[in-house]
Amino acid sequence: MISLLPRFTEVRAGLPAPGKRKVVVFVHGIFSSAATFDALLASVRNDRRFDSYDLATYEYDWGEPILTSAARMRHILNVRLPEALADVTLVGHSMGGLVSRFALIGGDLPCVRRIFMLGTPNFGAITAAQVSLLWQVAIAAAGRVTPVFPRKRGLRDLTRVQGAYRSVAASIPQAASRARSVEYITLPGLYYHDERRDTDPGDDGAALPFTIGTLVLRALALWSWAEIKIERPHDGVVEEASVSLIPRKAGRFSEKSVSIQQSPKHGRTYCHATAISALDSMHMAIQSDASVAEVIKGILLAGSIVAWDDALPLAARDGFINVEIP
Amino acid sequence: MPRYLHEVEGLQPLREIAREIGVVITARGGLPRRLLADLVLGSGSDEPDLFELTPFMADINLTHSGAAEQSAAIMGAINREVPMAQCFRWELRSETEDTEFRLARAYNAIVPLLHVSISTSAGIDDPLGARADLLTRNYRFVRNPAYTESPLYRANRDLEVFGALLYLRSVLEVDGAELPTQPSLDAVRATFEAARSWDTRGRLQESVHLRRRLHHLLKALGTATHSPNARALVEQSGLIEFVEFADADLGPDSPAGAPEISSSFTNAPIARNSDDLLVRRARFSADLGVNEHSAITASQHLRGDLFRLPSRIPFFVPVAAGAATESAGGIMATLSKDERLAEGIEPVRVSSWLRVAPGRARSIQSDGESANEMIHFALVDSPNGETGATVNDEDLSVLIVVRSGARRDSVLIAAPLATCTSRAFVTHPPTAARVRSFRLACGSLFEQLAGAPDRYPLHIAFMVAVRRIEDDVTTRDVGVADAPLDLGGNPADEKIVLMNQLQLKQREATTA
Repeated sequence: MISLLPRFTEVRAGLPAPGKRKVVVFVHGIFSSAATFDALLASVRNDRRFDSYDLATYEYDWGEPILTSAARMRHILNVRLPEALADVTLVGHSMGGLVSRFALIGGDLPCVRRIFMLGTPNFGAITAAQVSLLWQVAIAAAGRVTPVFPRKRGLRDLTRVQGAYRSVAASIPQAASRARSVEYITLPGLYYHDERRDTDPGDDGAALPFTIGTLVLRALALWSWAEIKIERPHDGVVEEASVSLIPRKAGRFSEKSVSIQQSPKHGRTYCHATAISALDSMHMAIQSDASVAEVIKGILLAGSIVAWDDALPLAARDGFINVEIP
Repeated sequence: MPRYLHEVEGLQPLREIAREIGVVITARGGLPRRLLADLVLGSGSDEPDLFELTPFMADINLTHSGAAEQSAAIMGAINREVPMAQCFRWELRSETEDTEFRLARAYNAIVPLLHVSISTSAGIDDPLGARADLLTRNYRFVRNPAYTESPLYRANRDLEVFGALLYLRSVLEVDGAELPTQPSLDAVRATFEAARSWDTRGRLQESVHLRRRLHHLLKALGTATHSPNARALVEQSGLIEFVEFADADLGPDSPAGAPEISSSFTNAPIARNSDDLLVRRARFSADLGVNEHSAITASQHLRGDLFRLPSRIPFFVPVAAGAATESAGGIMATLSKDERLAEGIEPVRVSSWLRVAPGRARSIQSDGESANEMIHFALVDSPNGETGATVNDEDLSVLIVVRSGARRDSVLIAAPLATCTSRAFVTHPPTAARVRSFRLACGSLFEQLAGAPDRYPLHIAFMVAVRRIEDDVTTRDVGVADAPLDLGGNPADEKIVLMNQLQLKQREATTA
C-alpha cells in the first residue's frame, strides 16, 4: 500500500537569513514521485548561493482529481508557509505544474510568488494514446511495474485541462486576478523537432522507448508511429504549444493570458523559455536538464523574470532558442 | 441525469464536434438503453460515465446525419477530443450507411428496450415505449412473423435467436437482480425452440459470421447473468437447450475439453497439439456461466473460428508466494525475480499462460485502421470478495506478462489501457462478490509480437492488480495555530514529514 499521501516533505531547511524564508516546493508529475527531482534538488542543494533556501516536496496521488490534489496542497502550504513568513516558489513537472496552477487560482494562496512549469500540458490535448505512451516510458525508466488506471480522475483530467480551467474560472471570478502578480515560467521539451528523424534513438539512447525500443512499448502506444508530428515540436508526449501559455490557437486561454489581456503590464510576469538543450529533452527528462536548473536558479536569484532577463548576458542568451516575455 | 448525448460524462466534446462538422450524432443500442434504465429505475449512479455505460463487450454505436465521407473526420475528432477515447470500441456510420440495418430492424422481434436512442439534438428517443416497460418491469418481446423476410437473415448474417439473446441481455442488464416473471418469456422460449432446426444448424455451419456473432451474444449474456433470478430466466427461456443443440454439431468432448476442429471451420495455419485450445472451435456452452475460476473471454476474431485467445481463461488467486508460484505457472516468481511491482500495486488474480494466435484481423486489414485490439474478460470475485467490495473499479487494472522466444524465462511486461466495470454477484446468502469485467485496449501488441519473425509461439498471462493508497487526509488536517516552518516536526501531525538539516544529515548517515 502506498502510504501517507498527500505528503509534504521538507527536504532541507535553509540557513537562517534576514527577512522572509525563501521556500521552493517541488511538485512531481504523473506516474512519478518526489524522486523525479533528485537531479534538480541536488543541483540546488549543492549550490552555495541557495544555502538559505528551504527546499520541500509535495507528493500527491496522481489518480485523484487534479483540483483535489491542488486544494490539498493549498491547505498544507497555507498552514505551513503563511505569507507573512515565507515567499514560496513552486516547481511543477508535467501534471505537477497543473496542480500548482490550480492550487493558486482555486483559492487563497498568498505565499506563492512564482510557478515554474516544466513540460506541463497547460492546454491538455493529451490523449489516452499519449497517456499510454507516457506510461510505458515511465515504466521503462523506473524499472517498476504498474498497470495503467485510465478510470482514475487524475488521468482523465489530464486529457481535459481546458475544461477544468473553464470550470474553475466560471465558479471563481477571482481566478485570473490571483495569478496577476504571480510569475509563471513555462519550460518545454522539444526532443521531437523538425530536424530530428522519428527513428533517431538519441546519442545516449534516451529516446529508445520511442524509437527502436521494445515492441511492447511501441505496440501499446496506441499511437500510429507515422503520426508523430515532427513539424509541431514536442517532448514525446506534450507539444510545446500546449506548454506555452501564450495563446497560439483560438479558444485557448488561461488565467495568465486573461490577466495579461486585462493589463499588458502583467505580461512582465510571464515567460516562456526554450533552452537549446530542450531539443534533447524528452518529457520524463525535462526536470533533470541542467539548463532548466539554470533558468530556475537564475530567476530565483534575480528575484523576478524581468530582472533575470535584463541581467542575462549575451553569451548566455545563445543558450536559448527563445525567451518570450509578452 | 443526461438529457442529450453530449451531456453524458465523457461525451461532452460531441456537442462541439457535431456543431463544427454540421451533423447530428445519435447513439443507439446499449448506451441509451442503460441511460434510460438509470433514469427510470434509478439503478445506476446519478452521473454515469462512459465506462459505466459500456459494460462487458459493449461498444459505442453512433450514427451521424452527414455524408459517409464525413465519418473519418468525425471519428478523428472523437479520438482527439473525447477523454480516453482509445479505451472504447467505437462504431460510427452515416445514417445512409445505417439504412441496411434500419430496414432489417423492421423484421426483427419487437423489443422496445432495443429501440432507444439519444442524440446531440433531440435527446432520448423512445419510439416503442421502453420507459413504460421499465416502469412496469414488464419487458416486451414480440416475435415478428415476417422475420424470414429480413434482408440480413436472407444474406445469412442474422438469426432470429439473436434478437432473443439481445432481449435477455438487455433485461438482465437493466433489471436482473430481482426480476419478476416475464410474460414475454413464452415468446422467447418459442424462438429458441424454433431455432433448434436443421435450417439453423446449416446456417451456423456455413457462416463464420453467424458463429462469431452467437459467441459474442452468449458471452455478453453470460456475464450479465449475475443473480439467481437472472439464471432462472435464462434457464426458463430455452436457451440452454438451444446451446446444447448448437454444440451437438461439434461432437463429444475431447480429453482436453474441446473437440478437434473441423477443417471446414478454419484455415488456421498453426500447429495443432492437444493442449492448444486455439486450434479448436470453441463450444458455445463455454460462453455461459460467469464464475470465479475461469474468465469469460472475448478477443479479436482473426479468421475462420480462430480468435486471438481462448474463450475461457483459468485464473488463480496469488495468496502466497509459494502457492502463487505453483498455481499461476511461475508468473509471480517471474515478476519477483525480474521486475518489481510498484509500491501500492497488489496482484489479486493471475491467469495461466495462454498461447496467443498470430495474425492480423481481417476486419482491421479491410478498413486500414490502426489496430487497437480489445480483449475483454469477466470473472467473479471470490465469495469473500478478495479485491473487496470496497475496492472501486477505477482502482483495478491489468498487466500483461508476455513470454516469447526460445527462452521460457524471457518475459516482458506490458501495461495496456485496462479498465474495469462491475456489478454485484447476487447469491443467497449474500456475499461481497462482484462480477468484474475488464476491457483491455492493447493497440497492436499481439499483432506485432505474435507475428514476430522468430516464429516462436507467443504466450501471455494476465495479472489483475489493485492499487491501494492510504489517503488519510483528515488525520493531518492541521490547524493554523500549528507553528509554521516548525522544522522539528509536529507531534499532532506526524504524517507530515519535516526535517531540518540535522535530521537530514542523520537520515543520510543512516542510509549510508
